[in-house]
Amino acid sequence: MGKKGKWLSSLKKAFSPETKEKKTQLLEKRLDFGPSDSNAAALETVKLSPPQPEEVKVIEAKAELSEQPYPVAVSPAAAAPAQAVANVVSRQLDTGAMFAGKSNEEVAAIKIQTAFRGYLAKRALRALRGLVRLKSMLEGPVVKRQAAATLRCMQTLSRVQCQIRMRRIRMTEENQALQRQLLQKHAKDIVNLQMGEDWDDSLQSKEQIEASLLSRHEAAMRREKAMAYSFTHQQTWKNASKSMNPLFMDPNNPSWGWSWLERWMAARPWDGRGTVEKEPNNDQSSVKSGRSSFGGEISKAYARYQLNLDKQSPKASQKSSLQSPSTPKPHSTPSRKLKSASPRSSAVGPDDDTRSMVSVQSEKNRRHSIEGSFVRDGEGLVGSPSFPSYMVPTLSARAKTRLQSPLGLEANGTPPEKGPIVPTMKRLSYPPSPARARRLSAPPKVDSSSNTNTEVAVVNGDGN
Amino acid sequence: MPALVSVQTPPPNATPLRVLLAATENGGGSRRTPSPSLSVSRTKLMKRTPDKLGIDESSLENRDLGPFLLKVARDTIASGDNPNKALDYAIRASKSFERCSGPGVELAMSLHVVAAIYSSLGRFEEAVPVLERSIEVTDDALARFSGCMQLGDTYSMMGRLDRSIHCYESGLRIQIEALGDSDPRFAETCRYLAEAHVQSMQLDEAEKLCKKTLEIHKEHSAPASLEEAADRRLMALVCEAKGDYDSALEHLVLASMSMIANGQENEVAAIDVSIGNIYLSICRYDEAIFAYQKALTVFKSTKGESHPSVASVFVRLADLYYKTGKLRESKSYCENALRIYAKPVPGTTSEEIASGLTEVSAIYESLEETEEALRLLQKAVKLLADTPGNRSTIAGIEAQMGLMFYMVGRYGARISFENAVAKLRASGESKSAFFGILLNQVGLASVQLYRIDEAVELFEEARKILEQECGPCHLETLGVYSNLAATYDAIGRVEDAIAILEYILKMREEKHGTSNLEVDDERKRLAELQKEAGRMRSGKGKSLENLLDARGGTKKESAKKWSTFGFRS
Repeated sequence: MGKKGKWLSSLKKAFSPETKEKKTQLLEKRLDFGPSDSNAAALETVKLSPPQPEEVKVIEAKAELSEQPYPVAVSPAAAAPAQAVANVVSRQLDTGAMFAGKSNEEVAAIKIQTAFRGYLAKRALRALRGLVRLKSMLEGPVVKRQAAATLRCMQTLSRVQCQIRMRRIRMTEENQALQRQLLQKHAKDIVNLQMGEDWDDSLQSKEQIEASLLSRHEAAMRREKAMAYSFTHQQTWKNASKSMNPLFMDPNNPSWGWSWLERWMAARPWDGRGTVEKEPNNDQSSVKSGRSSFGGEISKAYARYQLNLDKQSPKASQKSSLQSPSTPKPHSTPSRKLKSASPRSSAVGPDDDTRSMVSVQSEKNRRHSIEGSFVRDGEGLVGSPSFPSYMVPTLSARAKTRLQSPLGLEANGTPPEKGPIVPTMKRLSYPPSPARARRLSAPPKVDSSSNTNTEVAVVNGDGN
Repeated sequence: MPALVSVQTPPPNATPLRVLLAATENGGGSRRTPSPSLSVSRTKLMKRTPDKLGIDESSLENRDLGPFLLKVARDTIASGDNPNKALDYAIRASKSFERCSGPGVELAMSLHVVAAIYSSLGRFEEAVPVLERSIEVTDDALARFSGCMQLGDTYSMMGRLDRSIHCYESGLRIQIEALGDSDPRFAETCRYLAEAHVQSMQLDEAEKLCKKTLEIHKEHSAPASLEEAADRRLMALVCEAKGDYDSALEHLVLASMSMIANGQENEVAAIDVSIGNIYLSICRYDEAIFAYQKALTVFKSTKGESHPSVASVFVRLADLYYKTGKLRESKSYCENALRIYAKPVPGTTSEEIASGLTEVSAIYESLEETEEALRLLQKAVKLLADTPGNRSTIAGIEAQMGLMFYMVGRYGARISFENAVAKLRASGESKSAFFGILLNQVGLASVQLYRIDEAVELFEEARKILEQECGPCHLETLGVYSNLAATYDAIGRVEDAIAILEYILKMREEKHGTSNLEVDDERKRLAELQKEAGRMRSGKGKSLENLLDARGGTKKESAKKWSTFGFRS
């Protein structure tokens, strides 16, 4: 723009009534520049004229366009400057006599000056014409159409963005239900945890405590079962990973980042799901240590196994002599699943966070397992039910598992069996692997693990 | 997926948040019900924590401390009392992990928690370096992936769509490396990224990703699965925005079939609305009315008479009646919609209302009730909180206001444009074609105000963007060229103007034939310019040598300018 500014100002200066000397200086300066001066050569014959008339004309032209802030006169009246130029030229031609009695230098200066003025005027004229053209283009249909198109564009933009937003809000809503359940579950965990802490101080008899614990568990189980049920029915498109993704975009949701883990792990119901590695510093599980991972087959087998357990669990619990008076048998079924969330995490110090890390690790393992090496130990199995509360996917996964397991069961024709059979089944489902040997070598562990449903009770029994 | 985080759509901050809080409170309520024991134990917990936490730095070496601190942090967050405390715990946890196990998954995860807490406190700037670090400290693909994605979400909360997309892309790459590129989990991320692209109107990228997602889902899930339906809806959105109505319709119909098969009544209705939109765009009005009415019936019965989704169908119907010339019906539908928006049912987000108002205003604008349209837009802007995430939505609305002002000749109200442009620039959206088109418009407004210098700058920027996004032969680009040529002409850069006009004419004749109105107009302008330039030239010298020389010079010069005038101001 510097360019334009320069010529405009020089135009003004040239037209202003200044002393000749000044103008000459200016002119000389100007002459350094531009090839355009060659144009001026064409005007060499032109004679000097008093500057005033031109100025007047230009001012008139400006006045006509008074409302326009732009310094250059723009208007259909661009003809005015044109006339001015014409006038200048003709007048100059007429007044050849004025040179009489002037020195050569003066004449030269005057000539140059005149030529330059002519040049400037021409340029102004051209610019004016350009502006007029610009203006008429702006008034034209083309630009109007552009504006309308732009408006449509912006409206489309808003609409598309709004639809995306709605898409996401809808999912948010769907997730909110989940979130709520999640929170409740978390709260429940806390309760359970506290129960655990209270354990020693309580004045109640062990039986009483156990009874109350169990009833709590039952209630929790029922709730959880209902939840799982609703999940299976919610299994819509948002299902696995999405529903698991509790409002990650909600800044208030602390598990923001977790959801990405969950997405990764949740999308595939069969692998990675059942896997939770125990924290090393986990009291009970310190023994269990191992990294667990298994592929789809194993977890399916696990599902079947779990189902079996469910069916026979009342007996199992009886066997383990836990049998608290208050344990209603029918409930023990859900209890198997339930235990997963609550008792274990309550009894055990480590928490969701650590576990989630664990799950990351197990995820790593899972990948290995995909490569073919199924390394696992019994503990992995046991551990699996104890998912961190925020790992909603587990829930639905389990729900799915449960949903599907009857089918699998029927297909296999495996009748529900009693406790002792369980390990066998498990073993059958394992792929041959070093882990198996390990597992076998630690039968007691297996035992306790298969009993996970009533861990508390086990402890209790030991105490007895 | 609630992938919401678009810049535009920051999390449904306003209302949903409230809803969520309510939910949390509910949860809290239920938590409290088993009151006595709980409260007791809670105080216990509280009592205990200070002891543990009081430990000095050296005890951070304790291996158990990290997990424990994280746990406490989580509990603190869950209780919602004191996020700052939670932050403190989380930071200590990460320190402890750093000391005990050094860089690794644990540290990364604890950093994620720290970042999440920062984000929940609205301190996004502090969350960013934490997340960046978390990505650096581990080699585990999952942890890095989740770090990248969280960082992307954080950026998008900050309104930096471009950066957030960049982060999502890195996340995607990590996932590909770990899982291969046909894993359903990868598809999830793909779709998420595609949505982010749509949000920033980078439709081509979005389409590519969406196609990939669709392929993966086809391969891995049953035919007509809900995943596929979701992909197809996104795809339809992209196609619609690109003006490819046939494919959009196809995708929508397929999606609708899946939804019907899965008994998702509300989703079917929502798809019907989209189908109606497409029919409307291709002027099949009867089909459009049918689709809208179908959706309207479902929405009314499932969501209630005054749900915003009912209002949105009203708006669509109003648009339809406007297009079929039934202005009275159109207006009455607008009024119905406005009535619903005026008294929103609880649970309606202010974003929803704002976008509804924006749509109604578009119809008022076409009904030539510009004042009313402007009023609605102003209301919409007021409804949207000025969070970074909302900014580009607001920018879109302001741009519309600017355009309406322009169209009624109130060029002085260019401030709306300036606001919009500034916001879009800040959100890093300065690369989309839409932005280019908007810049062109701002340039025109500047010309109207005789700010020619500014106009030239704006046109030049618009040209650069559009050349990049649409290619130099696109109609929009040619439009900008034409404006630029006229402006160059007005500031005396005739040669540039001629070069541009010659190019435009060539392109137009190749693409659109010679009988186009715009071609005529431009040809006239070019002729005029050439006449002027020619006159100049003929005056230069009389010798043949001079003439040839001059011409050669001019030609060369103009060629040079053509290639480089992007750098000239």
